[in-house]
Amino acid sequence: MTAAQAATQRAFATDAPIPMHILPVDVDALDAEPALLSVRGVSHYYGERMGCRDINLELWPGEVLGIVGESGSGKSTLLNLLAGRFPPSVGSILYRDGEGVLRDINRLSEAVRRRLLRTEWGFVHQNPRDGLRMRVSAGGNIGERLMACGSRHYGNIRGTALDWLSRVEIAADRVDDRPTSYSGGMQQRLQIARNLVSAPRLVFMDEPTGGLDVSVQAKLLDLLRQLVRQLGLSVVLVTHDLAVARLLAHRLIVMRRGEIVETGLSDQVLDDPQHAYTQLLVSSILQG
Amino acid sequence: MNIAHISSAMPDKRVLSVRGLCKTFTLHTQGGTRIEAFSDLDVDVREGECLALHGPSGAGKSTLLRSLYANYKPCAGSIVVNHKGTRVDMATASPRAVLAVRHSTMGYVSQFLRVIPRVSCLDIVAERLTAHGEAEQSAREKAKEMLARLHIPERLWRLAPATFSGGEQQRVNIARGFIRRYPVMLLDEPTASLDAANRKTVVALIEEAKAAGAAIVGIFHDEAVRDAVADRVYELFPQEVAPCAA
Repeated sequence: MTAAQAATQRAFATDAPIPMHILPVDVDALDAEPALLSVRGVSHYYGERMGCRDINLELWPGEVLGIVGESGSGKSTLLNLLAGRFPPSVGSILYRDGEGVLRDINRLSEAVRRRLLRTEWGFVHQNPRDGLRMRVSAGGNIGERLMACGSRHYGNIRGTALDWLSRVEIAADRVDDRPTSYSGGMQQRLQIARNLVSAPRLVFMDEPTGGLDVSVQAKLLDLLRQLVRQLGLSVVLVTHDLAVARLLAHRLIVMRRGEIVETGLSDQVLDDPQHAYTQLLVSSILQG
Repeated sequence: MNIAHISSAMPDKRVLSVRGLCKTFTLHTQGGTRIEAFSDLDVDVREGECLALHGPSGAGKSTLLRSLYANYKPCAGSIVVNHKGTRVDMATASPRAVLAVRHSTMGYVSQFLRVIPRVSCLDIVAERLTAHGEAEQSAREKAKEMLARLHIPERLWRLAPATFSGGEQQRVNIARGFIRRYPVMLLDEPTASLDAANRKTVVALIEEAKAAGAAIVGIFHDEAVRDAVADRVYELFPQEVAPCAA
């Protein structure tokens, strides 16, 4: 059965008498589209200790997938596995690249892997210091990624860098300053610009608003939301903040002790959680 | 025979068809208490018709509305909606299919605006149109018209609604909900705490949506509003809370 047929069957899975004028003329194009990322039976062990177990999931183009759970639930392990930062003990992670070729990310040649990392993927760290070069100017941080993708013309690179600084709301006259002179919120926005300048297809984000003050968080959230929409990005977002998950993610995965305990539409998971652990998580939020 | 059942005389115009719908909440954090909101509901709604959900507090009106929108997950039954000529069961559809239905077929207006930090109220309303490919300029013009109709003062249009009064936020929410006509609209107390002038506007917006063929399911606390807009009333009755034996 093709994906399209399966989708049709899902859409019609009901015994209810249905008005006959509603004809099955077209399958939702969304459901027929192939996944960008497919995770099959992935487990990871750190020696004896389990990091995550039996993970299966898919990410579709243009989708923001949130991974939530408390510290130690395995969210970061899973994110690092998906981003190919280390291979899983068991299972495979398949990525459909820009040419439509399905690739096992742990069986790539080093050259292909590097090309993907430079051009098609981005990774936004919780701590901007892990994702920026602190001794290089802000413009240099953005330009470096462009040069890695093949840009050589200095004027163009600088122009693009300035454009991206303004998109992440950093004043143009700060282009030659090093990130060390930036506030935490500015550093995080610069890290986002550095990642998005090369127009990646898939971006991994690890608690992108985690280390910031609440007012700075709101600004960054709004910015992320806009950029994700404008660029049609696919994102895997790890966060322990359920409000962030609700605002940014289409779909959520709830993890506990290395396993997925619940998954579904973000607002459904948060407003009508089915699993005991998700109910506990949701009911533990302080009402602001 | 439920009063919300449609006679077979007009089967053609149904856009929403609910069969055997059940919803029970199981509160795992509270000793597994089970709360049955409703069971075995059948509802049909036709094009251009407004169905009012009616019943005492706790009868499950909002729960039903949220289930139709797939915000709540029903335990059993189906919610078949006509989505661009396809039938989609909101009770079992994939998250992506649900999002597609919400994007173009089903709109939901609640009493509360979930505030997005820093986005101006004009953009919150216009976004509904630009998301469907309308040019920014004309989307903003229409948003201004709608905000003016709902008596949101012009000086507020450029501000984010986080600091607005409850009534103002509610009206921004209504403006956003009605700026684009969805074939199915779900309204949860759209006129709660509105003054007479704004109530009148909302009634007019509902009438316009109906005239354009929208199927509407709503909870209207205000009797006068309900009488003005509802073609049929669907009664819901409170269920008993049964403690879980297990």
